[in-house]
Amino acid sequence: MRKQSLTLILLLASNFIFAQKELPSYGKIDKDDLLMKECEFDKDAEAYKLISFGDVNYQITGGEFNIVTERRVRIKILKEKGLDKANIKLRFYNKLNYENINSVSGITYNLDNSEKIVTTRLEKSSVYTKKINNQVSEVSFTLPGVKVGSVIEYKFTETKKSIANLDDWYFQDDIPTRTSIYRILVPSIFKFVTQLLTYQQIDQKSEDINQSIFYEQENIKFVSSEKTYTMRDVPALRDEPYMGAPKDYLQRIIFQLSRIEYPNGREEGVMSTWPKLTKELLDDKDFGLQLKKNLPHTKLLDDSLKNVKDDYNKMLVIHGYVRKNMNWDGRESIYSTDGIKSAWDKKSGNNSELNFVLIDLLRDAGLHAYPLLVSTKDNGIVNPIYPFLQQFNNVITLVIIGEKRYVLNAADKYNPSYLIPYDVLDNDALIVDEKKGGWIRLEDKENQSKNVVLFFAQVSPDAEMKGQATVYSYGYSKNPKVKKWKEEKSTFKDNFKKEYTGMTIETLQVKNEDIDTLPLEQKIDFSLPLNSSGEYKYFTLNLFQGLEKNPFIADKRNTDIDFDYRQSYLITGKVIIPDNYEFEELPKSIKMIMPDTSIVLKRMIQRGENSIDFRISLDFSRSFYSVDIYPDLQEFYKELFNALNEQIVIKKKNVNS
Amino acid sequence: MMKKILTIIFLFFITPLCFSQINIYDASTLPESLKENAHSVKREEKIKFEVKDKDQARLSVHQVFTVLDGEGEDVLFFINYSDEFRKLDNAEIKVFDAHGNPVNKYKMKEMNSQAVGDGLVVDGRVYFFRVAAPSYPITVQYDYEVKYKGTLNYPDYRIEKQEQSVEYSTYSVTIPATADLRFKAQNISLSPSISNTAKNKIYTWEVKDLPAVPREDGSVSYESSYPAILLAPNQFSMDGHDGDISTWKDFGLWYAQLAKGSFKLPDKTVSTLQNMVKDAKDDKEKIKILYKYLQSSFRYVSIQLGIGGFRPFNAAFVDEKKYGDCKALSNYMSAILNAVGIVSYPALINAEYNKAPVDPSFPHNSFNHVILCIPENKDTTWLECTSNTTEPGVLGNFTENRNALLITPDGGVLVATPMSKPSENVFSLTTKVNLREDASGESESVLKTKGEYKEEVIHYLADEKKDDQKKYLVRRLGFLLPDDFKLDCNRNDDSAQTSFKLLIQKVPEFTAGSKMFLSPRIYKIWNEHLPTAGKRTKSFYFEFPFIKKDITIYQLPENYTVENLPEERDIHFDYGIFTTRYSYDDKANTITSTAYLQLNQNIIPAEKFSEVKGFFGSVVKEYTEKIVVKKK
Repeated sequence: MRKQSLTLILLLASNFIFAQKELPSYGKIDKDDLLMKECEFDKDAEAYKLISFGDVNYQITGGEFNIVTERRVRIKILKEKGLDKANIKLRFYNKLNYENINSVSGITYNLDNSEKIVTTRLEKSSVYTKKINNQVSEVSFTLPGVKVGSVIEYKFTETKKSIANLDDWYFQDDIPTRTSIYRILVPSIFKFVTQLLTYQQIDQKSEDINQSIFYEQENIKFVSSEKTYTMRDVPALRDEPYMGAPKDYLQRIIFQLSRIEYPNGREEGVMSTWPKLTKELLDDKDFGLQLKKNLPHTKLLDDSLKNVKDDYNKMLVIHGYVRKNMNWDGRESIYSTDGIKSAWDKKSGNNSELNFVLIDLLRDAGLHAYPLLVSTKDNGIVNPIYPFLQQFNNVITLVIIGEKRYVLNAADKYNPSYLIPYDVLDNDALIVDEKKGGWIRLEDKENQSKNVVLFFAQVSPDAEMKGQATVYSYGYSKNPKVKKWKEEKSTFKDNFKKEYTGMTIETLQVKNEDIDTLPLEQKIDFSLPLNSSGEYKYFTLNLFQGLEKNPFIADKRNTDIDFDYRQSYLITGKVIIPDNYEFEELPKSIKMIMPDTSIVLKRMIQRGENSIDFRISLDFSRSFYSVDIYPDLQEFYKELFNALNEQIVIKKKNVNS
Repeated sequence: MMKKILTIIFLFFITPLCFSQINIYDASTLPESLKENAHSVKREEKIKFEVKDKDQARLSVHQVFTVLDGEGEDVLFFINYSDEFRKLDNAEIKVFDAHGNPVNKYKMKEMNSQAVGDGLVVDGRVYFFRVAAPSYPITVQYDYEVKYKGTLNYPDYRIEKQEQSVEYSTYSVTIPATADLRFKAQNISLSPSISNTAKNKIYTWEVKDLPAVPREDGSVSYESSYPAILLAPNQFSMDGHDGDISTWKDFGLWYAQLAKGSFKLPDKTVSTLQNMVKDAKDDKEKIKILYKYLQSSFRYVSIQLGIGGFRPFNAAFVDEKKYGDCKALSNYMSAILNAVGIVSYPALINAEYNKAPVDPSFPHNSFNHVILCIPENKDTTWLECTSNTTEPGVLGNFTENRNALLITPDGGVLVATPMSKPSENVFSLTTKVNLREDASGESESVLKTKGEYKEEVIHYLADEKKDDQKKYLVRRLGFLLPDDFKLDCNRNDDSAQTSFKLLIQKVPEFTAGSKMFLSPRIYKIWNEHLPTAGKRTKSFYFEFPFIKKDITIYQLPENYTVENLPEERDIHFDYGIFTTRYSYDDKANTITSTAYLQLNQNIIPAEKFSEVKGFFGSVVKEYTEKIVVKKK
C-alpha cells in the first residue's frame, strides 16, 4: 500500500466525553432492548443493529502516524435466522503489517427467568487470528450464550499504518440500524475532503480540541476539530433481483486526504487530480511499468498476424488470441500482482494482468491501446468529481482505431471485440494515458440482448406437436449462451425445455459459437404432447425464449432495476392442426405498453383454415428503471406473464356441423 | 529375482522391434473405446503411499490426463488441501498440446494458495491452479507429494470418476512388515499383488483400459459411486493419540478416549437440570424436556482445529458458551441426560441424504457427523443435536437409513439408524377458492406438515420476511402469483400449522371465450425435475419418502357451471400411490378436487427408475388437465 512518511511527533489530548443516551457505554445495557421483540420500523428484520460506532484517532508509534479506529457494534438478535450475526469474521490487510486488529472483546446480554440482566463475556482464548494468504488475515470469534432475544456487543481496535486511508463509513447494512456514529479526530494539519452519500438526515457536529505538537524541538499549539456524524433508524438494504451494486445504495461517507498544512506554515497538496493519479499509475511498477515489458511473441500469434493488414482485424486476431490462450484466475484488481511476464508464462493471471498483456500485444502490432479503469456492475457507479482510485475495481482495454473506440476485456472469454462488456455498461471509465487520458462514458446504443425464434410446428391427429425452431441469439444474449454451450454442453438442451411439460428435444444443432460477428444459431427439433381436458387440447406459444418466471414477485422494492442492457424477444411462425380439429376462441391480438412506453408486448395471432400464424414480440427501449417506477413494472410483468401463459385451445370438429 | 532380471532384458531387446512406445502425451494415440462417455481420460497414474510408521506416511502421485472437451475442464483445475495432518510437499504441473508437445510448466510456488476451513475458523490451506485450455484436447501432468502426519485416514485408491476413462493406473501401498493393511474393493473386482521385503510389505493394484462411467444424476454420493479400493490401517496414531481401527469396537475406544473427561458439568447445572425434569413422568418426557432446552438455548457453530476435528469441546465449555459443533453438542446433550440418569451415546455417522451406509465388515473412517443415541430395549431414541427445529426422536434424511458407530465406554458398536417412512414426512393442504365471474378470486388455505416438510415450513415461512414468504409460495410450491396475501404460521404447533389467504387476479390458467380452464389445484403438488430415465445402472435417491394430501374446493360464480372434470387417477404401484377425485355439488355450486400422492421409499433401484419417472410424469400430466367451467 502506498504510504506517506512524516517526521512529526504529535501529542494528543484524548479525553472522550460521549455519555449521551444514544451511545451507552460498552457493557451498559437498557433492559428495554432485551425485552424488545421486533424492530419498530422493520418488522421482518432477523436482527437489529442498535449501535454501530467508529472512533478514529491519529496516534504516533515509532515516530510514525497510525490511524487507529475503535469499532463497537451492538446487535439485537430477533429471530433464529439472526443468530449468525453472532459469528464474526474480520479481515484485514496484513502485508508488511499494514493493518492489524487487536483488543477484541465481546459481551452477550440476556434476561434470566426473573428478567434480571445476565452478561456473558467473550474469552480471549476463543478469539482466533489466522492468516488467509500473503496479504490478508482474519480474526474470527463467536459470542457465547447467544439465543433469540439476546443482545450481543463486541469491540476491537484497528490500527493502520497510514495517514491518508481513513476508512469509509457505512451507515447502512443488511439489517436495520438504530444509531450509527462515526467520530473522527484528525490533527488539523491533515485536510480531508469528505463525500457524503446519504439520503437520510445526518447529524454533523464539530468540536474544537486543543492539541500540541513537537516539531523540530518546538512545542506548537493548535486547534484540531473533531467531527461526529450520526444517522438514526437506517433501514436494511437487502438483495433484490436486477439490483445494481449494493454500494450504490448503501448510505456512507468517504474521505480523501487533500492537503497537509504543516505547523510552520508550509503546505503540501496531496489531493490528487485525475491527471496526477494517471501519472502515478503510469509510473507504478504494478501498472504503467508493466506496459513497458517486452513479451516474447509466440510463433502462432505472429503467423496469424502475418497477412493481416488493417488495424481492426489485427485487433480481432490479438484479442481472440489472448481470450483463447489465457485464463483469468478469478482475482480482481486494478494492479498486477505477479507481473505480466509471469502471467504470460503461466497463461493465467488476474484481470489487470490479462489486459496489460493484451495492451502490450496490441501496441506491438502498432495499435493505439490503453488501459481503461472501470467499475463493474457489482462495484457500482463511478463519480468522476472525486479523484479516488478506490472507485475502480477493474482495468480493461480501450482500442482506438480512427474514429472508433473499442472496449475489450481480455478476461472475458466469450465477449466479442465489438461489444462493450455488459458488466461495465452505463458507467464512466478513465483512460489511463498521458496524452489520450480522460473520461469516457461506456454506453451501447446499438446492441441489445436479442433473441429471435423462428417456429414451425404441426399437431398430429394423436395430439402431439412436432416441430422445428431456430433460435438466434444476438448481442448480449450470445455471450452467456456460448459459455454454457462450451462448458456445459450436455445440459445445454435443458435450457429450452419448458418447465412442467413433456417436451422432448430430439436434436439440437448449434452454429456460429466461434464467429463473433454472427448470432448464435440454435436449431431444435422438438416434440411436445398437447395437454388436454375433456374434448379440449391446448398448447402455449411461450416457447424457447427463456421467459419462464416473473422475477418481480416482491411487493417492496428499495433499489433501482438494472437489466444491464436492453432486451428484445421475438417468436414468429406457424402451427398447423389436423383437419378434424378446430380452434376455440383464440387469444386476442394485443399490444401492451408500459405507461412510459419503454416496454411493448405485441401479440398477433391470425387464424387460417387449420393453422395459425403468429408473431409475439417483447421489446425494451430502456435497461434501467428507477425504484419509483417499480409498481408500474411489477404490474406490467404480472400482466405480461398472464398474457404469455395464455394457451391456444383446439377441439375436435363436431361431425354434424 | 532371477526371473525378473531376465524379463527386463527380454523386453529391452524386443520392445523397439515390435512396437514403438505409445506417447501418452499425444492425444491422437487415445484408443476410441476410451473416448466413449468420457470428457477426460486418465492416461497414466502412478500413486505410491508409503507408511513409515504409525505417525508418518508419504504419498507421491504422478498423473497424466487428457481433457477431451470443455466439460472435462474440472480436471484442469489442480487443487490440493493441506492441514495439520496432511501437507502438500511438492507439486508440479506440466501442460501439453494435442500433439503432446510440452507448452508449459508450473511449480508449486506459482500456484495460488488460500487458507480455508469449514467453520468459523480457518484450519487448512488449499493450493490451487487452473490450467488454461486454448483448445481441446489438452494433456496435463500432475506430480505431487503429500506428507502425512497421523495415519488414521489412508488415502483411498479412487480409480475412476464420472465421465472419465482410465488407460493405465497403478497404486501401491508400502507398509512396515510389522504393520497391517486392510483394503476393500468397491464397484470393481480387483486384487493387489503383494510382495515382501525384509522391512516392508508392498501391495500393488493395477488397472488398464477402463471405459468411462456415464453420469447418472441423483445417484448415491460420489464416494460410493465409482470403482475404488478403500484402504485402512489397523494401528494408527493421530497427533500422538495411538489407536486401532481393526474393529469398530477398537475405533470406538480410541474416539471415546479422546473425549474422556469432557463429560463433566458444573454442579449448579446438574441441579438445575434435575429440577427441570423433576415432574416428568418417564424418561421419554425427560428427554423431550432436555432436548427442547438444548434447542432453545444452544446453537450450532462449527469450529474444527487439528485434533479438535475428532475431540469435542467439553460439556462445561458448552454449558457456559451455549454453542458447539455436532460433536460438542452431542457430547453436551449426552452429559445433561447423564445428569438426570439417562444413558446415551454419541454416534458417528456419514451424513447427507445420498450417502451409503458404511460397510459393517470394513472398519474405515468415513464419518463426517455426530448424532446422539439413547438406547432403550425396543425403543431407541435418536437426537440430531445441531438442529433447533426437529422433533425429539426424528433424524430426518440427513442421517437415516444407514449405520452409525455408537461410542460406548466398551468401544464402538455399529447400529442401523431408522428407515425413512412416508408417514413421517407429510404435507397436507386444504384450500377453498372463491372464484368470481371476472376470473379473479380469493383463496384460503390451511397447511399442516410433518418431518422434512415441517422443517421447510419453519425455515421458509415462519419468521420469514413477507416477500420471501410470497417467493416460497410462488416459486417453490407453484402457487398463482397473488396480488395480496396474509400468512400466519404457528411454528410451535406440532404440525407447524400455517394458514394463508391469497387475493388472485386471475384464477384460471387460461380462458377461451367465456370458458374458464381451472387447474386441479392452484399450486403444483409435484414440481421437481427428475433426470431422464435412459440406461440407468445406479439406484436413484429421492431426498425422502413422503405423503402429500390436497383438498381444493372451488366455489363457482353463481351463473357458472361445470363443463368438464379431469379424469380421476388411481395409480398404485410398488413405489407409490397417486389418486385424484373430483365432484361437483350443484346445490352449493362447488367443485371439490382431492389428491393423494405418496412415495413409499426414497431409494429407487436402477431398473425401477423409469417406472418411477413415468409415475411422476403422470402426476405432472394430471396438473395440465383442466377443470372446464362455463356460463350457464
